[in-house]
Formats: sequence, structure tokens, C-alpha cells
Amino acid sequence: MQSPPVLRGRSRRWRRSPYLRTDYRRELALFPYSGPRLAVIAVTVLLVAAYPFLADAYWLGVINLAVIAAIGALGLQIVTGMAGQLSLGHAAFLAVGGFFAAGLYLHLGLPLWIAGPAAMLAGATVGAIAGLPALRIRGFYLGITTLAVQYVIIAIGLKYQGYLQTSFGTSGSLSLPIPDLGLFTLTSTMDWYYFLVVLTGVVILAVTNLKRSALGRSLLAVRQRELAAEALGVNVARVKITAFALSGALGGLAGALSAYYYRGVGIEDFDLLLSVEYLAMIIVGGLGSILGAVLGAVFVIATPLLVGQLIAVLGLEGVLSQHLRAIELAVFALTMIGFLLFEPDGLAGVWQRLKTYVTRWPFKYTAMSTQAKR
Amino acid sequence: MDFSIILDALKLASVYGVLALGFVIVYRTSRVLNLAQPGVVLLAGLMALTFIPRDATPTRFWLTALVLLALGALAGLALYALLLRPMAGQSHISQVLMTLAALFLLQAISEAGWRGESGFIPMPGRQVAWELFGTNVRLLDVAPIVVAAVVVAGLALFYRYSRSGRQMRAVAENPALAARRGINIEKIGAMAWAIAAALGVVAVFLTSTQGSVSLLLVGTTLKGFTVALVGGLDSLSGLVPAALLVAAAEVVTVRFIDQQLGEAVPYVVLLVVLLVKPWGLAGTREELDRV
Repeated sequence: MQSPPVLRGRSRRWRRSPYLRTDYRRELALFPYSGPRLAVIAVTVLLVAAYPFLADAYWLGVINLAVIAAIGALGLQIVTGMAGQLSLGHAAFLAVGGFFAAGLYLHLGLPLWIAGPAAMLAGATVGAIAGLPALRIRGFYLGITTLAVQYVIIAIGLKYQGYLQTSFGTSGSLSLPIPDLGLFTLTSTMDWYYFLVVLTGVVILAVTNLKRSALGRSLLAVRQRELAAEALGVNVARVKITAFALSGALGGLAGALSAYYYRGVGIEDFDLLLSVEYLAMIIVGGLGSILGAVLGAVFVIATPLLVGQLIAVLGLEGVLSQHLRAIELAVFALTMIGFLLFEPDGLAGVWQRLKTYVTRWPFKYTAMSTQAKR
Repeated sequence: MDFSIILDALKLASVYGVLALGFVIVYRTSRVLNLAQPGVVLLAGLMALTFIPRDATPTRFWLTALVLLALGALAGLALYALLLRPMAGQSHISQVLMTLAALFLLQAISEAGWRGESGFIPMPGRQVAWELFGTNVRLLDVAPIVVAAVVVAGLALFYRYSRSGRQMRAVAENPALAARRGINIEKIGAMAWAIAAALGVVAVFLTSTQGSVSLLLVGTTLKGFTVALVGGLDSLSGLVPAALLVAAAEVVTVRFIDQQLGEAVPYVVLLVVLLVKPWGLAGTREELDRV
């Protein structure tokens, strides 16, 4: 039996290569626990837990929205980032989730803890239906059928909203209650924050696990080359439909959450722009990266508000306030263009590069691209 | 059968046809879905609103239209040179997303300059009308159909007989081979983008014979996009039947079933057609490729 190469001296203790794995347990670990990694996780957890005490109510609300968006963005990441299928109709899944949750309450009086999973199921069903054309259609055309899903769902939602308004009266009585989760109620922004953060943590873990499972690997294989994936025994159509269903489920969950968070739903909020904002999130964050979906969601949600604050701080409201919408759009478009041109791996790529620099510090070896890793 | 329904369908088909042409031309040469096109259309419409005053003389109208056409072509060139060419070799999905980003940039410009303004472009000859088959037919009902027919026929002739048209067809057929034969692919790509953007300007004049210029133009243009897909993204011959099919379905739905569902009809037609013919009515089957 050959013994593993022994590294002597300082290098063994301090600068062991992060890629040198000496047993299968480390190879398979979801999180290769190294000291620095645990430290980063600990600091992140502390920061996340302490955030409500550091930020004021406004920015707490902003992060709540960003975290809800992160759940939706993770859904889109599965279908577009991992499986490589352009989805232009993600807002439709959010609409389905939101209206399903609202409908369950208005018709049957069911609370969020039932409506949430139910909305996920509804989203998954619609997602699977949206993915059905994958049985016959490939490539670009499949992506565009999702645009069809967007418009069809919005048309149906418009009808349903009209029906709700005629049978339950207008917006005032259409509102949802404060969510009751059995053990506790989500009364304040801070309650929401902790609830959402924990929920998102669970979703992140689930998606991370999905990515390294057989299904996750077939998603990546389909993205890289459909024909090769098929030759390796991947059922391409089924994988795509599953990806759309999963994406719909997470979208539905995000929709239900936002319906309860805003205490109401309006079909007008789920337009094509929202679908595109979700796409922007995963581009800015980094296509295919789980961390990227979360970072991208925070970035896309917070940037327009930051710009607004910046304008307020600089005292330019008088001059610019009437152009606020234009400025938001322009910042949005320019960041998207900038990331596409100069940082195709997104924020997750930046983070990866930073990490590589630190772990490799005395050396400048950066050849292992983030592209290959994700 | 009511003659006005046929007329409505033809009008809508002419608008959709020209809109779809813009997508098809770009897709044929550069294999990119140009989602920035709605922005070009919207911006052209808003500029037309500003530069054609209510009491404009016909000369002023036609001059402005020509200038806008030229500006549109320039905008197409700029989009291609600044945003799309640097993306060459990147994945298709990134290129599509780049055109989406360009769409938002154009929307930001329109928002900054016009802030959701809407209105009607004053068309010359808007008072002219005749009695035909028992319905009142305005000149502005017939003009878009004629213009669209001329545009489609003109482009078909251009593709068939002119040198650049032949080169464009060659690039559409096989870019690598075309480049080997000495065709300047970048020039052809730039030309396609310029023509497409100019067609967007034509389309905006066609739609505004029927309705107002507003933010809704973005949705209308996207419906033109479904027409391009129904016909087959790289096919010019499938375009006319596709435009007629989608327009007829939409007009019938709006007229007899429900006004609100009209927005979704083109997408339903798209789904049905793609399920039967995955590459559109006359599109060529593509190699398996990732998006």
C-alpha cells in the first residue's frame, strides 16, 4: 500500500493545499470544515443574528424583502443557472404562489403554515406544466415558451383578481392576516426577519444538497451539453421538467411569503419586469452559484433603495426626484451590463477569487477558474 | 362574415409582421434573440411624438420619419458594436441577457426623457376614408397593410438579389464557412442590427395608425416576437402566415370571447404551434445547442 505523500515543515501546518484530499470522507463532505471556513461561517451567523440590532427598521425591511427574493432567486438559479434553461416567466410562479396563498385564506381561512407548502405545491405543478414543452422543444424556443407562461398566468390572475374583488369587495377586505405559525405570530419586522432568515437557511441547505445529488449533477450535465448528457443516460426532458417544477416550488414559496409580508396581492406586481429582475439577480450574483443567488437578490433589491438614499443624502431630491425611476432603471441596466461584460461569474466569482487569493496567499496561482468549480 | 374583422386582422398582422421581421433578421445572422427591440420601438415612438407636432405638415412628417429611420439604424449599429460584439463567444444565455439589459437602458432613457408620456402621432391623411363592402374604411386602415407588404417584399428582394443580401443569407446558413469565403461577418452583423432597428421604427409608425404611443408598446413588440417564433426564428417565409395566424386568433378572441384575454392569445398560439412544430411553421431544425 502506498502511503500518502508527507508534507514537511511549516507548509504542512499552515499552507496545506485546499485541494489535497486524503480520504473519501473529505471528498464527499458537503462542507469541508477547515478552520478559516468555520470562522467565516461563525462571523456570518453572528452578523446575520445581530443585524436587526445594528440596522434601523427601514433597512431591516429591505433585507426582509431581499431574503424573500433570495428564495425566489434560488428557484430561478436551479432552472436557469444550473440546468441552463432560460426562464422568462419566473414572476408567474411568484404570482401563482401569492394568489394561491391568498385564495386559501380568503376562501377556506387556511393560515400561512398550510398555505406556504400548498403554494409550493401549486408552484411546482405550474412549473412542471411550464416545463412540459421540454418534451418536444429544445434550446431557445423552450426559453420563450416560459414567456408564454408569464402572459397566460397573468391573464388568468387578472380574471381571478377581478372575481375576488367582486365577491369579497375591493382591496380593503382583500388583505391577509398577520401570519400565525402555531407557536408564534409574525407581528413585527424583526419576527419576520428571523423567520425568513431561518427559512432561507433551510432552502439554501436544500439547494446545496440538491446540487451535489444525482439530480443536481444531471442538471449541470444538461446545461453543459444536452447531447452528451443524454448519451450518459440522463433523461433530458424529465430533468428539465423537474428543474422547472423545483423552480416553480421555490417561486411559489417566495410568492406566498411576499403576499403575507405585504398582507395582500396584486397581479400588477408580477409583470415581465419582475421576471427580468430575478434574471438580473442571478447574473449579478453569478449564474449557477447558490451564494450568488442570495448575494444577487440582496444587490438587486437594495441598490435602487441605496441610490434613493444617496440622492437624499446628497440633497439632490429637488433636481433628481422626478427622474428617480429613470435613474433606478439605468443603474439596474448598467450594473447588469457591467457584470455581463467584466465579471461573468458575478459577485460569487468575486468572492471566489478573493477566497482563492487568501487560501493561496504566498503564491499567485489562480488558474483554477470559478467556471470549472461551479 | 364581417368585413371589418378581416380588416382588423390584416392590420394587426401587418404590424406583427414588421415587428417580427426585426427579430428574425437579427436572429438569422447573429443567432441572438434581440430583446432590446421593444426599447428601440418605444424610444422611436416617443421621439416621433415629440418631433411631430399636432399641426405638422405632411412634409415635416415624412422628413421626421426619415430622420427617425436613420437614427434607428444608428441605434442598432451602436447596440451591436458596444454591447453585443464584446459578448461574442460567450454563452447564448449571456448574450440574450445582454439584450435584456440594453432594453432596460433604453427604457431608462425613455423614462428620463418622457416619463411615461403617451399620445397619438398625428398622421397625414387621417381624415380620408371610403365606404367599402358596407364598412367605413379609413386610409390609415389600409396604409399599414400596404407598407408592411412593401417592406416584406422589399426585404425578400434584397435578400435574393443584392450582394449584401446574399452575404447575409450565407452567414445565416453557416457563419464559419461564410467567413472562410471572405465575407466580413461583423459588417453583416452590424447591417442586420441596423436594419432590424430601422424596422422597429417602421413598426412604430404602423402601430400608431391604430393607437397611441405609450409604454404598452413594449408588450406589443413582444407579441411581434411570438410571431417570429411561430413562423420560425430564422425563417422569412414562415413570417407572413405566422403574422396572419396570430393576428386572426387575437382579433377573434378579443371580438367574440374576452377583451382581457387578448394579451395572452399570441402566447397561447405560440405554445400550440411549438408543440406541433417545435421549430415554428417554417424554421430550420437546429443542431442541439445549449441556450
